Amino acid sequence: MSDVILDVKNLKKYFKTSRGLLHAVDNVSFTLERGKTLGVVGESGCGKSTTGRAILRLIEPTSGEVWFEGTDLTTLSERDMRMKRRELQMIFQDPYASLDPRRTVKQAIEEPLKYNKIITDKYDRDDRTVELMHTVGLAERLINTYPHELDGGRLQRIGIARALALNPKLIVCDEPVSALDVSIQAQILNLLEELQEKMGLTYIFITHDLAVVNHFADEIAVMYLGQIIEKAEAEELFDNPMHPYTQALLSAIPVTQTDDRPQRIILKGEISSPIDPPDACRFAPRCIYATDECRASDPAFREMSPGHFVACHRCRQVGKGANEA
Amino acid sequence: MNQESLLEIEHLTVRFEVDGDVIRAVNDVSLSVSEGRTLGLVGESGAGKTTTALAALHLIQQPPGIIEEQSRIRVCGKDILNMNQRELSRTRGADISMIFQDPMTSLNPVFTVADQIAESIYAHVDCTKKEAYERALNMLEIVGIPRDRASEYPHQFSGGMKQRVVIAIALACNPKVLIADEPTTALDVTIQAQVIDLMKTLKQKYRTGMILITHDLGIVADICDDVAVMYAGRIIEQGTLREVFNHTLHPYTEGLFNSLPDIKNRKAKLIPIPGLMPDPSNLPEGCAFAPRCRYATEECRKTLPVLQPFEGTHQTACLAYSRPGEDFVLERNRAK
Amino acid sequence: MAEKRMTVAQRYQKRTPMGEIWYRLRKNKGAMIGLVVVIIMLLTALLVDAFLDYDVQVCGYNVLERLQGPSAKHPFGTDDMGRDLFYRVVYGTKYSMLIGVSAVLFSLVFGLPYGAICGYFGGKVDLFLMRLMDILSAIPSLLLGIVVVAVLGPSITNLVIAIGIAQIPAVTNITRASVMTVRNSDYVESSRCMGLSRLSIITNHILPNCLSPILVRVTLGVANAIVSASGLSFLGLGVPVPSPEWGALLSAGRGFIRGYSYMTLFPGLAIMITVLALNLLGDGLRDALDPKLRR
Repeated sequence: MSDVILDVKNLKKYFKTSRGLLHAVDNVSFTLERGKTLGVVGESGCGKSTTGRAILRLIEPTSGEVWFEGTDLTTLSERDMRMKRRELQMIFQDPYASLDPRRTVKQAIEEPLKYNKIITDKYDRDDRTVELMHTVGLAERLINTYPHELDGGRLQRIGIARALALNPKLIVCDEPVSALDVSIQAQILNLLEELQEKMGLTYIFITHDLAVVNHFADEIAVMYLGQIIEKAEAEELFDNPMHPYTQALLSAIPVTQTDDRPQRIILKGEISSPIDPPDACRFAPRCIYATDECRASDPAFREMSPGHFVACHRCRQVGKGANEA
Repeated sequence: MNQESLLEIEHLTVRFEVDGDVIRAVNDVSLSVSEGRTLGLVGESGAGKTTTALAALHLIQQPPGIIEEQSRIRVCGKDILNMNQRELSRTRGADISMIFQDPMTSLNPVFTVADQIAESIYAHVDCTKKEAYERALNMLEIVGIPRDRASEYPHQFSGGMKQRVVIAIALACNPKVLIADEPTTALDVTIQAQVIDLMKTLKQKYRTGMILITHDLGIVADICDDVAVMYAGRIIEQGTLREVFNHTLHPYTEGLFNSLPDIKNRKAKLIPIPGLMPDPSNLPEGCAFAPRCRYATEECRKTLPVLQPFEGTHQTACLAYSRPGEDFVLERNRAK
Repeated sequence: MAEKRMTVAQRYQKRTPMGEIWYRLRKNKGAMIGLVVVIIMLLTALLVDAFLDYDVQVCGYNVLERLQGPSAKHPFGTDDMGRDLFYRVVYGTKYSMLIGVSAVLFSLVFGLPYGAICGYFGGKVDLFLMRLMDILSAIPSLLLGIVVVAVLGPSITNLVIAIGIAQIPAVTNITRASVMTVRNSDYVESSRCMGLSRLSIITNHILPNCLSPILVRVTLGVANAIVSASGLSFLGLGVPVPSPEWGALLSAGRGFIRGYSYMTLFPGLAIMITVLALNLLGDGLRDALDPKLRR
């Protein structure tokens, strides 16, 4: 009786570069239930933002299907997609860059209402703008201010109000708090949580911050070089990470404990090139468990325990190793 | 803390005058760093952390910046604020050095990485160019960059590698004090772990005194010995790592901890600090944190608290502890 | 209910965007001086025919008073035909302003859409169109002017065309560059995400954000055009003979520069002041139009 709102199948996005084909997103598939939050975690260049944008077709996917409530978004015409976008919104990473510097708070928030001809009456639109401002916790008196007069936290609230204006069902949050200070971060995270409860929103929450995603997401997908390498319920993933990369990521979370600090796994080297990757496990060059098998074939994405998917040839051994350590 | 201080900052007060506005960036900050110890300077953007660091190298642009008269900064016993240009360039790099947040912009794109390190060595150490280059190669090895990449240009390096090069330049002349301004913020988590690990090793090996500027309390817990928390240009709490983290005194420090998601307890509600940091050109009369503080009283809004010793080396600037007849305990400490 | 219903936005209205720009411009002394001078110049250009009789005061010969130095009667002196140089310089404003403004308008008509297309579509379209522009900008503007005037014959219209063509590459480049920056900005992507049509995005975001560099360029372009026009007139390729265009006046005074240097001094000053004023205004506008520079 699961109520699936989004079903992504084999999504790919390749970019042509002078040195070859850049596999930004390579065969990404997942489903997402209504009202839930999927956290997409990974380091810069792993394709998490591109995935989010390809789902909204802000970037045209190379291939794959994106089923949103029974419609394959990739088959829609540009016009139909524009209508559909109202139900799928996005919150951007940099609140300073994602608002037009020449438009006031009012103009920014009412823009989607005005130009999609959803509320044509000036006064009604004004009421709705103020209502949205209240929803995201912005004081009414800021209605005529320009972005440069406001701080990052308030700007991000405007970004959220804009996204909410069209009553969307799904919101892709692309690192919505990473440009903000710690104390403001918590304000925005709490706001997003409240809104989800109140409006039954579904989130795809893209971030590099594991502590935040652990707090925020129901399910977590870990990406490495364009692929999802592990996916599980948040609790399961944190308690029982199976992929060596996930283990390293989790161990690298800075904790504020002063005593009994967990031992960190320090990975060697850096992310390899996403251009024309070989048919092998993409993490193998940095992996301490890697064998010849890992360097010879790309591991399949398998369900190791109910709801817990991993792409690793050696995750049975790895899991044991980690538990012993 | 009985060792001799390598860097001593006393009553540092810096203001900027821009178009008739006076921005009070740093107000009466005193701190010291001794050999082999690392001080974590914590605070949000605009708290005055970077200004404090720049002042320690006498790098503040004047004007618009004005370092007020009572300020004293001594690097290895020498007064850096009254140095001439020659003394300054001899001190910078050799006695005190700085790592900036963005490794992309602090490297010169038209020189190879080894040349950039060698240049710094050649300028400060009495040696031939060849010796300087040889030392530069050693430095690169120390920070984990193989020798065969020494003649490459910065754009051929990834972010983490560039930050290693920046660290190599900063450490090239064995400075006694190193100031690192958000050295890992621009890096990915796994790379961040590598860089922190490197800094820890270097700290043990060379006994460098270090100031680590960061907003990330996790990193502070990882490598710092002492902590100073800044808010609106003032240090509001200072002490050893254990004192500040385990027996937090100031409500702002408590607020910072409460804002962080807890990985142990994933469903714990975040408690953000309401409101915003005050505009440094328009600071309130009393405690700058009072408007956001849930413990604040009328008195807090009127009287400016000063940093006062609490227990051992632990100091805080909060009026709640000096109220007569009341034993004030933060909520964070009550549960314990 | 007599009271007019107000929107919340109106209740909190502080300054209109235009008011804000004006407020910032007003604080800039240089820009205000420039603005005042430019306004005076424009008014002079528009009204000069109402005050001066072109045939008598500007072009009428008076051999008795030829080559007189500056005096109360003739503040700028007289030329070799006894014409009052003050009147001629003042009347020249009309030509300079007319040519400057028209030439820039001409270049805008072609350059704006051209640059906008290159910037918005990018890719191969951009590559091809910009190479064409490169060819045009590879021809020295003076040479281009000489060719156009030589082919079409000297007249004000042809001068405007010659100068206008020479300015097209600059307008195209600046339009293209600013359209490109804005097109790739997060806020345009965010508006696409809101389901806005291409047209709405262009009119609401791209154009307003491109306008300020273009406006600045236009102001500086007028100054440029005035200098070019004077240059071509100086070479005898501009305005036909009796018309007191500043460059033509300079050219006419050239032969008398030893004994009667005032004949070149005043038209030269006029060009300099106008160009300076336009540049001051242009710089001031650039600062005032940038919402990020608050004070």
